[in-house]
Amino acid sequence: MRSFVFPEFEIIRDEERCGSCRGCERQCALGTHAYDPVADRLVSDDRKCAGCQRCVIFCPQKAIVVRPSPSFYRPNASWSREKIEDLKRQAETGGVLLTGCGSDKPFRIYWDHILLNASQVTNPSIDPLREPMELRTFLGRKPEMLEISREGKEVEIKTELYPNLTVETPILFSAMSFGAISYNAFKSLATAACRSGTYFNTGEGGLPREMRGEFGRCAIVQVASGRFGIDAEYLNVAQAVEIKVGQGAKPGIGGHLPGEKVSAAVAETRMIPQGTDAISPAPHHDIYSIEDLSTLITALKEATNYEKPISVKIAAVHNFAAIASGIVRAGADIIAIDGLRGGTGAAPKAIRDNVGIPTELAISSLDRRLREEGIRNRSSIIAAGGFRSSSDVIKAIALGADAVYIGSAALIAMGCTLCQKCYTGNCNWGICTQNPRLSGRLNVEIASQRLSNLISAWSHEIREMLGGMGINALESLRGNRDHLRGVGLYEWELDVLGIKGAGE
Amino acid sequence: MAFYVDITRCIGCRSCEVACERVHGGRGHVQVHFVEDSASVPLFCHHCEEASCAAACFSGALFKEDTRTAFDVEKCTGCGLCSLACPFGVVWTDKIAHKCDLCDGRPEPTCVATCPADALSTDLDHLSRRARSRGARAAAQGGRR
Amino acid sequence: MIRVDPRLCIGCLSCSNVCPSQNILRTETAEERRIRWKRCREECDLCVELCPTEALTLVPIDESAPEPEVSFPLAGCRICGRRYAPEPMLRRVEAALPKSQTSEWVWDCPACRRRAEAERTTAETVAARRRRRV
Repeated sequence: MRSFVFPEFEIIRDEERCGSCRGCERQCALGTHAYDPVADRLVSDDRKCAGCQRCVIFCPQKAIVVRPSPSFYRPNASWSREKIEDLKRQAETGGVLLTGCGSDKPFRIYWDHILLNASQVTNPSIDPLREPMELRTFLGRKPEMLEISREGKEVEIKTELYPNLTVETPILFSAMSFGAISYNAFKSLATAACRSGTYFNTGEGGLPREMRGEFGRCAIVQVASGRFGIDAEYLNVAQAVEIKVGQGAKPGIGGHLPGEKVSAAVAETRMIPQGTDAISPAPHHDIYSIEDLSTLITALKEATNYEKPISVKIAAVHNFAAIASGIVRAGADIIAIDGLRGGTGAAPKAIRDNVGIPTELAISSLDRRLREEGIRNRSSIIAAGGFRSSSDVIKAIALGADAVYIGSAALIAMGCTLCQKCYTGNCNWGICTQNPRLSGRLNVEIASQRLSNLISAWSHEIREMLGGMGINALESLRGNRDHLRGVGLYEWELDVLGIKGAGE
Repeated sequence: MAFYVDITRCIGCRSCEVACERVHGGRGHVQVHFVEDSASVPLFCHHCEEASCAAACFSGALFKEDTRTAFDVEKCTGCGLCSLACPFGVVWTDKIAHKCDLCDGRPEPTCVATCPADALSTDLDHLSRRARSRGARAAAQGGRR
Repeated sequence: MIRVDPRLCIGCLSCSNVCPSQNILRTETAEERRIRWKRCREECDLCVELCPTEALTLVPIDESAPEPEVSFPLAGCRICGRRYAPEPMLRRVEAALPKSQTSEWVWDCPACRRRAEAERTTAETVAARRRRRV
């Protein structure tokens, strides 16, 4: 069928600069650029371009510009270009529109409407370069009270402590499975997590056997509705186990890894036949109530000898705070809450852009609910979905999160440009693909260096901001909404966030 | 499909070389060889059934497609393994490999269309028919051609 | 930058051909072929991706590491003696040939192969004509 959709991007090649080196042609797995040997020049097909900018960045002559195509439909406030084109695509294919990455819709980004506090005169600010600054965070259940015994100078905690995760900085890599992302991308996350004293999450794709010894110490393993790649060793080699119930990008929807992406290595890790579709059902078929969830949590605790915290990841949806309270009571040591802007490798566009609630509001209402019920100590909160900078992280912590998961941010550090074509499996950056030629492009050593650099940069910035507030431990900021003020927010939004307006 | 050459008809005019170069942007795939004074032989890709160039190609740029050995310029890296793997020496490499593509997209390879002496054909029957009729003519003329 | 395993490299110049930034230099004399990888800051990975023997790896830039360089003496043609290709390339071609084929012609240069083919065809035709005349 003739497509009536405009090419999304326009490729402009400066013919004077172009040296016909064919670099762009070889970089693009979508076949956008082609070499014409007769004319010795390159020609580009705008229609195939995903806008990933790989060719632009690697063109030695800087001869290529890829920009949104200027073609337009008659301007119409209701029928935006996106709506018209989505409709046309559906008329042409008759199918569900898929997309990747987090929602790009202009819902209010509360981070950009919240301002941080700083010390002036009456309370001194702290210089993090000269004084110790504590970012270490413990994730897991905390006791109701601590019994301490003192014998002379010796102090000992008598209360038996619950298993906790120790992270050196409150930033963890969120669940991205091997299968959805390439082996090299997966290994880069693992390497960087171990190097930076934090954790990566295996997602539901299992942990390749050869990685267990080296990277188990910084892994959170996931148990999801597909139950892929789970065995006793998998659970025990990790430092925590996460039950994934929902994902911010697609609450209420399962996963579907197409057969083409199930390579031999993915098949072995997931324990499924090669080339078959890996389908995660929408619900866990053994969880239909909080009691069922409690059974699974207990089973996992049994399997791991009560030595590891169990986390439950849910998507932030309406009334989730009440559900989360149930989850805490069911025995979860950590609650991971994934907001509206959470990323994905593939999700129906309609779901990604229309289901869920913003992370900022979710953190605040969850923290408040658990405090009100007096059970906040029984579970840590890891927030996920749309963290773009260290200031987002510190605001999340002031709103009540214990730590955050970063997914998209980590991928961007490795080269991702959020072109949203993850679901095609042809990621030119070697991140979201199982094509050995493409995945080889991502160098583990270099990518993990970029990730560690990111974590270290954010940690430094968090220390700076903490110091400015006159706080020397992250612990003191947690849920400390007095350090936040809102700008340009409605009354109800300030109420949900639990913060005052600026100047108040 | 492959080329069949009747070298008894070749007059050594090298029109095939010129035509091929014109179609392929100055890089031809035919070379007419002269064997002393006795013959001129245009050398072509044979589109071998078991193509050694395709076997040597690591990137998948050369591959068998039906009866022809096809070439995908997008995949070629110009490594030159195919040139070394051609038993007839008719694959050239500079920036990329240059090899007969049977003039993809044209109804007939240009060399065949161009040959003024009708020495080339992509149709074996055509040549063998001619050989048979030549034989018959020879017989009719008393064993002499 | 690029790390090279000289045991795997066959000197085919694939990497040099695909390098968009001309960071892989080649020098070819009548006797030998020399390839030098400049200390490159790109991470475009094309040479690694398109190396037939997987001899290359991308490694983080190290200013102190020497620039990798390999050289191959060219093998001479059995017939005309002209040096025409690095020996490892010819060995690789020989190994890749279909089992049913003879392979000693690999050690003849392409020009000699063409001449041999022309001579063979001529000889065949002459012989056929002679048979017809008899």
